[in-house]
Amino acid sequence: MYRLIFILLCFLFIISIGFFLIWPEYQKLSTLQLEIKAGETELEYIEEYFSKLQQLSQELQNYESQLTKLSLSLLPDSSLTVVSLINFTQRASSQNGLILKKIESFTITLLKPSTTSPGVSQPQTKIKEISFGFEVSGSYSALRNFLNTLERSVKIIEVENISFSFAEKEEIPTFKLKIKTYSY
Amino acid sequence: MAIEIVPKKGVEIPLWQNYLLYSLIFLLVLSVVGYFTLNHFTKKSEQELQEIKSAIAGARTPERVALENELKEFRDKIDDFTPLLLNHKKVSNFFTTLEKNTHPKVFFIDFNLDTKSNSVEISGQTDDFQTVGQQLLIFQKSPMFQNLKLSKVEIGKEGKIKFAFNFSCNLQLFNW
Repeated sequence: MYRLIFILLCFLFIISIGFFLIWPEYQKLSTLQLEIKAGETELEYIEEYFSKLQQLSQELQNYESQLTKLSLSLLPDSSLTVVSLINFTQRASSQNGLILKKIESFTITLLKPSTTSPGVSQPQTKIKEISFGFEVSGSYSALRNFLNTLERSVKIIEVENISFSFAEKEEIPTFKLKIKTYSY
Repeated sequence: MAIEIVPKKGVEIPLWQNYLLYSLIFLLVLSVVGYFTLNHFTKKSEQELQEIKSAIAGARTPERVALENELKEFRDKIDDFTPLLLNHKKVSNFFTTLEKNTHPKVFFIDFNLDTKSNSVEISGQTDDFQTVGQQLLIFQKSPMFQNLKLSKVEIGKEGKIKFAFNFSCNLQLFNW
């Protein structure tokens, strides 16, 4: 009789150990194994990511001059860009034989996404558009040279509008231009 | 009278109970050993996980983060710059094309080019109507000038023929 009770107790004890100790421990171990695997993958990914960044950084060193131009083309300060643009216009016009007669008001606006070029990814709205109107006088060939200088500039300078009128009384024509550039 | 003691025969335990008991004892020991083994591996795994977490935290060194930020800045600039560059117009191309497509006897007086709308208003003068017609044909033949409209033709004070054209430019004209 005692033996049977002992057998029963043994059986219950084994069940209890299995249910309350072994099973939770097994679950915990399985979870840990999964976490280790995920951690190893993440670590591998991070190492690969930084290794690629390092490689990219080395490759970019070959394009240092282009990157410098890129930094110069989009200045971080719009006020600085306005001053720089005015100075550039003044210098470029005199270098090409034009006289800067008048500077009209300029505007700084946040760049709106363009709808004119489908397929081209739209610029970020953090870029500011700086428009600036002015009048120069000189010959037509001087104007052509001036436009070439604007186009060769490190900055992206867009000519939005050009107008001129050869009045009979005036010997030297006046050209009205509206240009724009970009900054952060 | 002598008393005889006859030993009583003990109750025989069935064989299956013995087997069951020993088997259960074996299982019990196995369970306890199994639990401690699992516990050992759990602790080892916890330690391993801790090491991996430290390695992950250590992988993002300040130098690496600085490099990452520097490259992100370049990427943002390139992303910002690319559409601006793709939309950049070369206005001097227009004048080159206009010069090539201008009749030698035509003199342009007023000119207005709006690159936003790609529209051009141009007026000029020449000696006779035939030249105006020829200028119109030259513009019509060029694929770079579209929606051509001769908006005005009149005889000026000095007997010169004054005319005005409106047209829009083919977008390819401003390509680099």
